[in-house]
Amino acid sequence: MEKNRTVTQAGSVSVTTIEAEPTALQAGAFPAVEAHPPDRQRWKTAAALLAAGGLLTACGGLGGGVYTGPFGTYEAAHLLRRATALGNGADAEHLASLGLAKAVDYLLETPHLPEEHESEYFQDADYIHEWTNHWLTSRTPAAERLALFWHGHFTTEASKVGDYLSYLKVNKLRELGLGTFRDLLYMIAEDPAMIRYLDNNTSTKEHPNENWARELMELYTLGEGHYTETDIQQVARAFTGWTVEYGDGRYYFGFDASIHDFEPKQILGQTVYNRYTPIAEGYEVLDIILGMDQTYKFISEKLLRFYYRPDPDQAMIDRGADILKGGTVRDFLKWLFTHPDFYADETRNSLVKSPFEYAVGLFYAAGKRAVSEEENLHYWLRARLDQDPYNPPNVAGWPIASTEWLTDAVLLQRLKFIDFATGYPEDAGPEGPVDYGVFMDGAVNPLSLVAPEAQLL
Amino acid sequence: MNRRSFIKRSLALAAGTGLVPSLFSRTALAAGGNGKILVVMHLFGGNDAINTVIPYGQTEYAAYRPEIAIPNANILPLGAPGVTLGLHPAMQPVMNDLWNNGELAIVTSVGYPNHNRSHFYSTAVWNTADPEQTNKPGWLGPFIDGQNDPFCATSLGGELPRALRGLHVSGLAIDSISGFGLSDYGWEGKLNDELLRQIQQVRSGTAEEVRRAMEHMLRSVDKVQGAADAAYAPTTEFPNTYYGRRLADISRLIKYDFDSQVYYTVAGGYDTHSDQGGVTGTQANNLSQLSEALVAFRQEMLAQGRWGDVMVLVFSEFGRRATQNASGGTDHGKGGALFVAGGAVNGGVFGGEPQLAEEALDDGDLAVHTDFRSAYADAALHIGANPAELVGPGFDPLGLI
Repeated sequence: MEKNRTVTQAGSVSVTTIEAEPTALQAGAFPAVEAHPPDRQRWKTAAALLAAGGLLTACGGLGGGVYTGPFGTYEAAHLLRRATALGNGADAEHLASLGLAKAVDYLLETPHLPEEHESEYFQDADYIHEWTNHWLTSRTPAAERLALFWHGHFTTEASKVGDYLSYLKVNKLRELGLGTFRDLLYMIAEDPAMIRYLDNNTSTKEHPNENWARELMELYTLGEGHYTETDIQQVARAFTGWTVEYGDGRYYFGFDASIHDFEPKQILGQTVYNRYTPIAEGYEVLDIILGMDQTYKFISEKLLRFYYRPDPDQAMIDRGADILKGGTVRDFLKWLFTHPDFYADETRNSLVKSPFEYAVGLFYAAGKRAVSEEENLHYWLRARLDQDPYNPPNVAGWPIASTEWLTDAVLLQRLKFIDFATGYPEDAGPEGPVDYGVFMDGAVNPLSLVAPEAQLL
Repeated sequence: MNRRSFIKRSLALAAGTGLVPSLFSRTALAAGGNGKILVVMHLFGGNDAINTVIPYGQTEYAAYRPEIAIPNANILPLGAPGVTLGLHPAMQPVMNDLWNNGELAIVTSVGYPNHNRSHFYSTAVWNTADPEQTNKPGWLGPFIDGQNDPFCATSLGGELPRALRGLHVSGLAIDSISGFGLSDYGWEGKLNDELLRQIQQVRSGTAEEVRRAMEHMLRSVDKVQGAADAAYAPTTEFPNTYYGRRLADISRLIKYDFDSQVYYTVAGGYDTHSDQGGVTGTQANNLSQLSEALVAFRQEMLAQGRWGDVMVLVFSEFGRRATQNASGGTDHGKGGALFVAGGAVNGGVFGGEPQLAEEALDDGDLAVHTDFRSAYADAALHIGANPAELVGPGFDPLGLI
């Protein structure tokens, strides 16, 4: 088949800083929106940070100083890749024209939510294409990369719980992703996909199922080594009765007191016992975990491996943990995206794109803004590139932005994918500019995509 | 410069600097396996066991399946002691070459406790050997982790099945021998040339790690492509079907002395909710293609002198309902049939005759009487692995091989 391949002549990313045209506002392919509204939560965050012993510098930065170097398209391209996994020269120019602080606010705007469909809709639509198409056209693509992070953290597999429940879970993660870790954890503990995935709906006082209790502490909050096997057993007992109910064509969170264990529990050194409101015991467990500094260190480290460097240093982890404990994920990302080390040479190109990020970023760079049903992107992702977005490989989720992704067969498929992603049917061309300059550093034309930099964020 | 000369050059370079690529130092280590080979074939979709290994002596059989029951005259009786079972007529080649030579073991009513009727859930159970599906790596994962060699298990057909995912190392997934590589022509040819150029520019940090991963990939491609040499062509003619092509590739890799002790391939088409057919039709075509590919593989392994080393394990994620539905098909069920073939196999029926009487069924499905993990335990022993490590404790091998 003859393909229409557009070759960009020069690299769109210059190594030197370019002063962007102030008129570039409308040029970005994800449309410019009004400036970020005044953040009414900011004073709360600051107060909480002070209470938590966090460090507030005179210039308002949250410790470690704020990047004050040049912020041209070169730096904006790096920020775009890390925040959104996609972008082109016009987007980078737009960010550069805003200046660093406003550019970060712009990226971390309240997430643009897609229309939520009923399950019948997906008889004729593909879940993976649906997410891809939203990512490609969203005003807030940063919310998509973040939703992918949380979905790989609070894992569920569609093969066990069904595509639709997983889809609803991702929608909730997208909406809450920038908020507090507390809100995320409360939501996920009540999420029907999670309850079914980790079998809490089959956990009874006679036969408590420890699956949720274990992963809650090992993978979702504290990390291994910060609880005992007894804690797991006791947490499982506290959550007996947390189940799912079916109504109006959907599963909902429910509580069944008839299978709840009404005896007192000892969890992480505290007593959990609520004779009169037994459902509250689960929330009390979450509060105990949310009160522990280790939870925020664990999440901070993982976020830094996803957004910053493969091996973040302890000082960064601790500072990030303080911010998460006293504030929101948005506060955390704002701190990171304005941190001087975030723009250091060692940070740039130090992370590996996951297959989904690779595919979405490449589609966007090739000017594509929608995947049609006939294009089998979902098959490429599931069968060849080795990331089915609705089916993490196991409860521990996907590799975090590391070279673990690059096994021989998958790496080969990433190269073969270039043809699929950058070619167009005869009757259709690109819907947006064809520009690989943000997708990878040093792009000259589609052949450049074989360079190692194409795999990097 | 073509790829082969590049690889030769880079190898010479590596040898000169004393930097022997880990890939090659490892190969020497891994070659120490026990020389046995396991070939796993997954019939995806849920093969209808009742029309495959047919309990034709029970009156319920024809009564449950007015449109799709195989007439007695067409059934191939196994003549096994104590059971009245026969194979689907499309399996005549298997009957002649495998069963009649005592090289086929049939495990009946196979499955796991609290059987799940979802394709994906049940596939995950078979792939992890864990009915609770507590999110484990593949059942062959510990074996692959132990070998620390991604070449020790290879999947043909593209997708890497979860069965071959280890905690640290996973098996290799290749489409086909000919498809594992960038072609020398057209767009892929251009990519190939540019890749060879790019890969010579040493980088730093993660970019350098990616460059090395690309170099490693090219060497793997080169290694697999070695099997494409005419010297390793099977002498047997394989049918040009999905299974035929996969088993031809596997034969080639075995002849080439590729490191794999495990080969894995999955084929769909068994989800016969409608128009399943009887003596002819959808399922008959599937079973016929499977049978012809299997006997060609046997022929080739005999020619290579390896049939005694090979264990072929054929399974489906579940069986189907005892009673046909209104569309001339069958819906998802429970107990299934599993086959093991090979020169060292103890031929026979393991698990007795599946019972069709209503009270013997499990909610309308064949009840499960043999846990598939016992058959996996035989497979584990065959490749020199500890069965308990792969399938958990308490599953004694059935003595299939």
